[in-house]
Amino acid sequence: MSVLKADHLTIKFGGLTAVSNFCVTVEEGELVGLIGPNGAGKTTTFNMLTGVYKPTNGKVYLYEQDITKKRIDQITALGIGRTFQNVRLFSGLSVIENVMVGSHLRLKSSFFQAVFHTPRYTKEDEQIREEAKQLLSEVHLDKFENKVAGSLPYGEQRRLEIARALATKPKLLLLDEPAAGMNPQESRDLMNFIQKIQNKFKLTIVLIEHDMKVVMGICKRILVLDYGVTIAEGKPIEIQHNPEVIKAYLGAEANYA
Amino acid sequence: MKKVKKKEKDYFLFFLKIIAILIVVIFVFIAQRNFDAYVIRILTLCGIYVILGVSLNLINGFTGQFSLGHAGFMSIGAYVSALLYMSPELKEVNYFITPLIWPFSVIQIPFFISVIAGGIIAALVGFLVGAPCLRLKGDYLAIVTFGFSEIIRIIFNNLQSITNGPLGLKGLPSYTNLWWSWGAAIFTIYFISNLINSSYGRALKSIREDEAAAEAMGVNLFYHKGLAFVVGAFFAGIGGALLGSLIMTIDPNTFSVVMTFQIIVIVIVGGLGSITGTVIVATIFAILMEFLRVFESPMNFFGTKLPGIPGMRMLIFSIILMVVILFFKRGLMGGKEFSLKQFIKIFSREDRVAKEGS
Amino acid sequence: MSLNVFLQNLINGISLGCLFALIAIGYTMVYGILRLINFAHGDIFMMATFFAYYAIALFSLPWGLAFFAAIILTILLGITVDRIAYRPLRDAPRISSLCSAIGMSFFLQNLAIVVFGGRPKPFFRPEFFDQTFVISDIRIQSVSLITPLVSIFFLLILTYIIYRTKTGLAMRAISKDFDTAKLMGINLNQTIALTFAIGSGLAAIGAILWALRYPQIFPFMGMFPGWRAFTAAIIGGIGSIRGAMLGGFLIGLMTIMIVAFFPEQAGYKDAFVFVLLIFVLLYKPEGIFGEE
Repeated sequence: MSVLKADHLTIKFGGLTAVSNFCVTVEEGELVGLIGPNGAGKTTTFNMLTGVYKPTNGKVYLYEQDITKKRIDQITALGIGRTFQNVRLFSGLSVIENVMVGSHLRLKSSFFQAVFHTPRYTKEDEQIREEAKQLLSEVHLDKFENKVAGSLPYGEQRRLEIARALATKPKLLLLDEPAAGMNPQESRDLMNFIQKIQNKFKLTIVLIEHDMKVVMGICKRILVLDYGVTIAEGKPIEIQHNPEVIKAYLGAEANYA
Repeated sequence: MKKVKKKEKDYFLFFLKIIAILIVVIFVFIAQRNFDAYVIRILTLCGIYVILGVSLNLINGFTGQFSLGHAGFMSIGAYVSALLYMSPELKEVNYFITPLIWPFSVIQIPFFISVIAGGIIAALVGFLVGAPCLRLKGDYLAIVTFGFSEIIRIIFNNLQSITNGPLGLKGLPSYTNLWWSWGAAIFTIYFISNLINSSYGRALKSIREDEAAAEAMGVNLFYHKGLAFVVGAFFAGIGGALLGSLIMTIDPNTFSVVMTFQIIVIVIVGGLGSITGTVIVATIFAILMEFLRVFESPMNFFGTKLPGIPGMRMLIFSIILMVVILFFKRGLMGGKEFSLKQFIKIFSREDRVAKEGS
Repeated sequence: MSLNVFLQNLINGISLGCLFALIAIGYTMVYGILRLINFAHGDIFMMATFFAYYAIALFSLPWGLAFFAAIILTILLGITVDRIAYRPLRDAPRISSLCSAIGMSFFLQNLAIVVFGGRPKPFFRPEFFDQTFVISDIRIQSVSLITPLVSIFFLLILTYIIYRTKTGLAMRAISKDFDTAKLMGINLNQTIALTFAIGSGLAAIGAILWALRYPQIFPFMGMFPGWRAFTAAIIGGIGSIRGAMLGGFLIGLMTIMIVAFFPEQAGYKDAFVFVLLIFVLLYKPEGIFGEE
């Protein structure tokens, strides 16, 4: 059973077709890359997968369940976690609170149990806090537990976002340009980190990146989008030498050997 | 080591809360015996404003849904409870133009239950109001909630056979006293601050911070926004019910937009998202309102007679509101709660500075 | 309903509609530029009536001069409100501006109570506006005729300013894209102040015509026409001036017609406005000519 199956996803905004006939089947444990020049429709595709946009045509299947018409939070509950292209943290909340919000959807205690702080709820809350601390130490943010999220430097905000997404206990993790704004060293560290968490949490990951260098190292399979159309799919080495892909990127980045 | 420390801290805080409640209880006990009726009435009003302020803060401050509909919920709480605790004879006296419909005309239920019922009906309406507001942004939400509040007022003004229309209900028995008012206030603070400090509270705050991100993290917007409205409306209904019995007369215009604005002032000045701030400002507000009444009647100022200026109280409050909005954007408490740690920090910092100075 | 009564109501409805249109434009222009709902607009409307009242009562000015002075004062008031309550919060989160607008409305109402007193005052109705023309059973007050004429006159001037002058262009640019307009060297604060000036000026004209028609003025009088006009602006499409005008007419007609056709429901007429407003906001927030 595949983890994710996108079947001819198409979305039109007014007269503009932002993404057309996007198809992919992702198996468990894969690390797939989605690349393409700016404006190619990568984030739009993510938005269709996570329920932010309802596609004009096509379907999305998670573990062979049709999730195309489901609400965003329902899809998250079913196992898709994501980060955003422009970091969207809960800036006014503390670092650890940000992560704990991610655990809320799996809360078993009822509303009244939570309000009256019953022992059952208190235990669960303790557990959530412990798990959040562990996730924070994964991303090396445990020392900043009580800091206001908005006050963190950019790179750390990005890592926090990943920790938050992990708190939702996803099976499929969608990362939208996680290395944006990072220097080459930071990007490399991040990519190592992504591989590490993939193994540790047994995730399937789809990664959007604009920077090809970053993605070539860790993705076993890459899809290339240009103007909403999938122009290539294959192993990194194939993609690198694909003339269509080179043409699409010409003018942006020609040097990625 | 850390775990042990945390447990100790928890017990300490719990102990502190119990002490705080005991202080209030003792204070109420002493006040009931020794203060005169006028002062008691003001203190009772303080408690009611605390309930109204904290419940509004839940919706507007913590969940970030700027609702202007609070007066409507209060009104429902006041009317429903009055219809239940008024005696049939009192009802007959009031509804002399259009008789009250059955079964209300014959029902009479103890005060406590009536107030709860008022809260529950208000909560129901809170749900009906909150539900469509799910997808509205800031200003539009404010307007729609205001609209609902006005619609409630207008309906109550016209349903002679149920609410007695513009005549209102007079001569309501005065059940509300310091115990009811502050008892309910303590329960409100307890309930809502526990809610805020729970996982549900974090979910509500995440909605305030970034709705789209919250949804992506699995927070069901409809459920949680609805929750905020329902709980907020419930306590507003309780507050309205208690107020009704305190001032002993209600009519549809008692709970007008002016009342909503007053509560909004309290919440903004105290800080959106700070329960401590709301409690402090609500108490001050009720007291100040009475104190400023002095300006509204003629007075003797060092021998010269000054005429009273009606409306001065509200004008002063509106000025305070504007000053806070323009200069203290985050309110009195800066949006934070009173925390023992912060309090202690202030003293230790001063200590350090003193040491460095010498 | 006889034709005469219908025509009577129609004329009243159009007349009222013009008033709402004049007020609605203020809401829509400010929203278009600042994305701010100027809750205080209805109260600026109210202040205009009091300015005119005291110009006549206290300073014994002839009504023409008094009305003119009131309009000028109201324009100044509108600009001042922006300057002290909205300009400082230009860069703050939206909710601050929302609170500020509400606070300003609250402040103006209470100021009026303190300074002018809460009891309603009778507005002067000069003879010019007091004539009644009778045309085959229909009684038309001169004010009902003057209102549409004056309104249309000023609305035409407004349209000219917006669509044919550089300042108008600046206003349209700002409402389309705030940040880019700033970069293009448009003086933001001045243009915004002008927007408030125009909106307040039209509201003042509407206010005087309103007071001539319903000669009771009191501090809370801005609420009723304010919310009607606001609904009109929303229905027409907030941000669109054409929309405000059309919306104004529709609401005016609707208000009169509902009372005419369903007199038993008259008590609920205000509720209808809010129901309509809520409906539009929930299901078609862009309104008729809406842009977003």
